[in-house]
Amino acid sequence: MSEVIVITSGKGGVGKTTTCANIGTGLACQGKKVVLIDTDIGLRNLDVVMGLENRIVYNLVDVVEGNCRVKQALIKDKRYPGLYLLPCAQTRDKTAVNPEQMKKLTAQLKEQFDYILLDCPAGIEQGFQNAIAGADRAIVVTTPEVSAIRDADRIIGLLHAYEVGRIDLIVNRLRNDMIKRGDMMSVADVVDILSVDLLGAVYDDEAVVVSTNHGEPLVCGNSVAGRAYMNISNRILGQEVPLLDLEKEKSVWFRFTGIFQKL
Amino acid sequence: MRIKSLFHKKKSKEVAKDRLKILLISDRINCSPETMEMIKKDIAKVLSRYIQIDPGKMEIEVSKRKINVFW
Repeated sequence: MSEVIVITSGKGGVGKTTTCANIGTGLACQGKKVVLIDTDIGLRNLDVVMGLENRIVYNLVDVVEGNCRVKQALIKDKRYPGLYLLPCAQTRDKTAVNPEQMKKLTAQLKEQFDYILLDCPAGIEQGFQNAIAGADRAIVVTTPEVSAIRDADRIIGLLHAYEVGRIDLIVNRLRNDMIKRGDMMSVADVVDILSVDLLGAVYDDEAVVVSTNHGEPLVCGNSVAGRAYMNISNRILGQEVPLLDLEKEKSVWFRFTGIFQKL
Repeated sequence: MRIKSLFHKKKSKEVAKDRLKILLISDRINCSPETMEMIKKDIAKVLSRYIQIDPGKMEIEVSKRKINVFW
């Protein structure tokens, strides 16, 4: 029972690539065989976020054009057993691949992998259509900002029109202090507006930047964002995991530091 | 009025939500808020020809059915 999941957003810079890298790694940590496919031809980034940029030999376009076998283009992540990356070409453009070819490729990969994660480019042009062609389900990433939510709504409409089986939402870069002040929409507000199933909420976390700097996914660490991504991975695996409650965590922390102050 | 608004300032989140709701309706049916307003006025006009209505109290909701989605 393998699944092809496309991670998309419409708007750029909301955290598609980070989400893709971390969910993929999270699933691999749970013992699944996972392949991440970067479909952002011409602007590839998943390789650097994963820290695998020095190991690219062949890419997606080579595979599709038949210059190499799929196996030759797959980069095995040595840190996590069962995790592979299929990078895309940097010197070509989105028209180098068509939706039919993507369908064929994902069908082929389904035989070997449990999860195939597609990192979708921003926009709704050919790159988007390539990415969703073979997808069984979609994860829409958004931030609690007007522009990102508007684009997410458009994307959700398109995903419905293309009859993608299941659509889930991840709200990224939430800031608890701003939500409490009433200066940022909460997860509930965003879900209410977009009326789509919620898969997870990720709080804004400096650890994301640090992990990208190192080229190491943070899902296996203990940061707030890392744990949120691990919860999302577990939800994809069918487990029921409650949303992270920052307030509760804070109170535990205060209790902890409170003890030291008393001493 | 100004003093009142000073005390009762709308949170920016509420502003964002209100703007988004109107924006998404017009995005979804592919028409601008002005056009929506004109449609509302026209509907009220036609209805008032036959029945007594208060256009100020009238609410028109646009919803989308799953079938026949044209984007």
